[in-house]
Amino acid sequence: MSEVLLEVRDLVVHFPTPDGVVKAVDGVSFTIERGRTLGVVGESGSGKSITFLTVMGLINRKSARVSGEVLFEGRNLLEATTEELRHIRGDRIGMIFQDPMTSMHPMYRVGDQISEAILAHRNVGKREAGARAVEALRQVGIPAPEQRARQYPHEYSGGMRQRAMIAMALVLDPDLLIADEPTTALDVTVQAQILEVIDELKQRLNIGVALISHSLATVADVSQDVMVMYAGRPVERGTRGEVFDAPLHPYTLGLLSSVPRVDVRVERLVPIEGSPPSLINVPPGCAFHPRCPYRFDPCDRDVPDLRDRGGGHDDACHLSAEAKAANRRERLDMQEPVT
Amino acid sequence: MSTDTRGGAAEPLVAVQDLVKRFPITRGIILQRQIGAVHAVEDLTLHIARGETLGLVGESGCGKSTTARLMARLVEPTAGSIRFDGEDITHLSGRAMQHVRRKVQIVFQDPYASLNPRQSVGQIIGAPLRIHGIEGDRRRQVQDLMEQTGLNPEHYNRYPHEFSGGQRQRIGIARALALRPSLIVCDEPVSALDVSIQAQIVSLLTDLQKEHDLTYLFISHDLGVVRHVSDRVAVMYLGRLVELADRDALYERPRHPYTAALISAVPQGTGANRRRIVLQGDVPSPANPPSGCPFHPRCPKARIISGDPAVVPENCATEMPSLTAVAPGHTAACWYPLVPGDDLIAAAEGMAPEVVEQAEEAATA
Amino acid sequence: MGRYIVRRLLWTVLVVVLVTLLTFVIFFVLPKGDPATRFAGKSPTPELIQEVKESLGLDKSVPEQYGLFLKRLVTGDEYGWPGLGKSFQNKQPVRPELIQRAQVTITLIIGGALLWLAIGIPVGVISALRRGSVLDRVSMGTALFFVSAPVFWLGLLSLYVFWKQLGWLPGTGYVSFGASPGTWFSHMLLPWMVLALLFAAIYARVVRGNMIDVMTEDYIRTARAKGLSERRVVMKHELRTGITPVITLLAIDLGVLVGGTIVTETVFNLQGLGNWLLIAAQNNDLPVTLAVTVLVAAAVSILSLVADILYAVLDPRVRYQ
Repeated sequence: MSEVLLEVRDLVVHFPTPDGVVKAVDGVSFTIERGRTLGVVGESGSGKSITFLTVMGLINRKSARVSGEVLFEGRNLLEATTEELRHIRGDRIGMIFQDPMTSMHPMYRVGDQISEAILAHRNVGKREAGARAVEALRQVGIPAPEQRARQYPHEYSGGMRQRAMIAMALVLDPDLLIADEPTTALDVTVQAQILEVIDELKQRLNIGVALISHSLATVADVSQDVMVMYAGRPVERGTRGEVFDAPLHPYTLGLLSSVPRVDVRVERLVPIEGSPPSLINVPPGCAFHPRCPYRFDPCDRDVPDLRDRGGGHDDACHLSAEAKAANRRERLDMQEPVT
Repeated sequence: MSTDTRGGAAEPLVAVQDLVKRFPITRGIILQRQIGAVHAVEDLTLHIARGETLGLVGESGCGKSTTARLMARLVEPTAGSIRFDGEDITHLSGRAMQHVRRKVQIVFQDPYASLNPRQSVGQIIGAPLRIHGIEGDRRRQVQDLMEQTGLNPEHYNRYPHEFSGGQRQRIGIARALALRPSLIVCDEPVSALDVSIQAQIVSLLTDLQKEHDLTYLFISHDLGVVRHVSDRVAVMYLGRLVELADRDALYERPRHPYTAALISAVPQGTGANRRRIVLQGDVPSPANPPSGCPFHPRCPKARIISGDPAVVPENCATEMPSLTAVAPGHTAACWYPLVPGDDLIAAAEGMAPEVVEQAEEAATA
Repeated sequence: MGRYIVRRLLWTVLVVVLVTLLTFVIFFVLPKGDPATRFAGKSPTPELIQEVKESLGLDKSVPEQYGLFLKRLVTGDEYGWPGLGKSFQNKQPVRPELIQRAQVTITLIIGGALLWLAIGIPVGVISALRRGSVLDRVSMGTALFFVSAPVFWLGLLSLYVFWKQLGWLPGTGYVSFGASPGTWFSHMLLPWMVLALLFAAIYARVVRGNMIDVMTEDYIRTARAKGLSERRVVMKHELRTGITPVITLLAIDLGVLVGGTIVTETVFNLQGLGNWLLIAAQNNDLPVTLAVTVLVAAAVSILSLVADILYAVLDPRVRYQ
């Protein structure tokens, strides 16, 4: 029986501004289970990062209108006090970010920055916290952790800094790790190391992971569950196999056929036309319809909700399951490698 | 992509010989003393045939962006020569360079930073025409370029901030096209764009190439994009060219261990259980590159040869291998190019911790 | 580090040489009449002028005079080390008066600096934390007022209010600490405040700007993601990077003020360096001008060295380079 760690129900995060309301997150629901990685894919402005910053209580609640439920350990985090949230952050949920170069304080030693997280949540001495920080660095594969703990972030390479960030996020054995674009700022060969470290720790510690990325391929390589987001809403959600082998939503299909691959060469990429919408003026109906080659009658009026529409997993598109299957076949034919 | 003149006897459009670019590291404010140099590009020799796309891939510090600037002669090389269209342009300046600049244009990574926010799109795209004193109805010429690059010609008087990221890159491309160049150096042209926009720009570039007989030097860290657009692909590591081959040969039969690892590291979306070569350590600093082959501290093949995860063969550690032919049209700079049966995955996993440590030391030195 | 400090001290010597050379050149290239004539009385005879010239050392060539000045500076003269000669104006040795006046000015500057740091930093930090609030707008408005208020006006106004009208504080002049600490303090209080208000306003704005930049840094988000208390995020993570740049600012300001508190000294009738420099420059009193110049140049150079060392201690990235 799988254990649900985090359940988000109908999360809405709107930011009122003088130019209008920015609908950053507009109805997002998902669950993360222990021992599994949920990959969240979307472009900039899809709401993927804001969703998880809201889960962590890291957005400015004064400037945002938030509704829905974020259930963690039987509690709605949206109703938790600042102090309650603080006890969850870093202790029960760890988070790492895109740019390891700027994510650590430049004037404190790496070991001390990790110890600080321990001291914030556990009643232990500084010496004990320091020893646990060194151990955490060892766990993420940093060589000579005793010496490295005494160094400053600028003495680390980019990949090592991201490892140290992971050590910091996992040092208190949280149940959930949120990784927001953890490899985007890194070199390709280092990206592979970091993904491997996250995956290995997930299995060893039996935690749940949310992996946020703009890259479908990154998500596909290490996730068991996948959610694709567009303009603040999820458009497709399922297991890795379901979403990648049998994509339903035209946006997912568009992403898959527009990203060039290294393992095969396709004759022609099929770009998605147009640009992502402004979150102040989200198109009515399905937000993707102005860019969708398959749009028809209801698309610019009715917002399609995310559910199983006969395709085998959840999607938010008005097309019939047959039409989606036909589109997929057509697109996959174009993806056949040229020889 | 036209390949008419490839491999023929015709003279290449660009020929680069033993190109070196070092940036001095100085200390002191008034009396500057040089205390070292960043070895941005070392002994680069390659050519680009007319009408082809040469892809150039590598990680941070590999020298690909410096190569782009050298080719466009935005910086002057420390040593070596660059021939463009049969003419030595290595040290050209002034008027003579002006003439070459018309023929070589560059498209930058960041469309936000490379457009003047106070100029209208018409002025931006028309600027090269004005600077080079091209006659004719400038407005019509510019609108023509806008149309070719998928921009609405009616937006002639708009400003960059009124456009999306993809459209701004189209503006950058239109500006590069204005003088009808023969070579366009594309320096990470899609890296700053959203995933759904990248394919639009890539397709635009390939369409324009056919239409205008353009030659591209296409620089990117995205191996998928490079495979899609290139005829031949060059791989750089720490300022040096390590492998150069036809696109499919390079991706399907890489001979340099670094190329193999680089391709293997790219997420392919084929599932969680795919095994890949995971190199240890980070890319070393180009200010202090390792001795011998710059890749030797991280190289799994060197460990296969030595049979000991902690040891590399002596020539790898002391002598830089030169670029040699491993197959027709396929060169690699490696003492022990890959052969079928090399298990780099196992070798990379088996590398001893002290080796990893050395690699990290090199990366942060 | 040792080599670095030695190099910077040598650099200081070079700065002193260059600045005094410049002073010499200005003095002789832009003469306001022959200095000897000026000091020789109302109706001088050529013999008297010649006598004065000799006594002031003005009979020698300019390079010779400069060489002599440097030599005395290094080896000392009959009044002690460093040798600074006699004033043209009152024929008194420069050195003892310099020491006395330096005490007044340094008292003024250090007291003022402590005050402006104590006001400027907290106001800047709190304004940044409560950005856009009434408190922020009031303090930044007040800061703008004090940045633009002329010091002499502020000085005279404060004297008028606290001395003439209210009678809470004594008027102008300096009383040495040794003579009476209480009187010393009450005499310095107004000059300190007037000097501090201008700088407190500048520092509050700088600190606020730094803090606002720091607050959006990724590592501050990381600190919150670790579950640190808000208090710790501000006190340990934001302040550290937000305030460190103030050190450089402080060092430069202190150095410049050694010869630059002219207005404050004049308004409050404090016999300090700035005051002296002004009078000396007006009266072509070369030895006094040179003495103050040497002191200011050395103070600026050495304080900036101290600031750089402090910066390296506080910021490991600087140490690393």
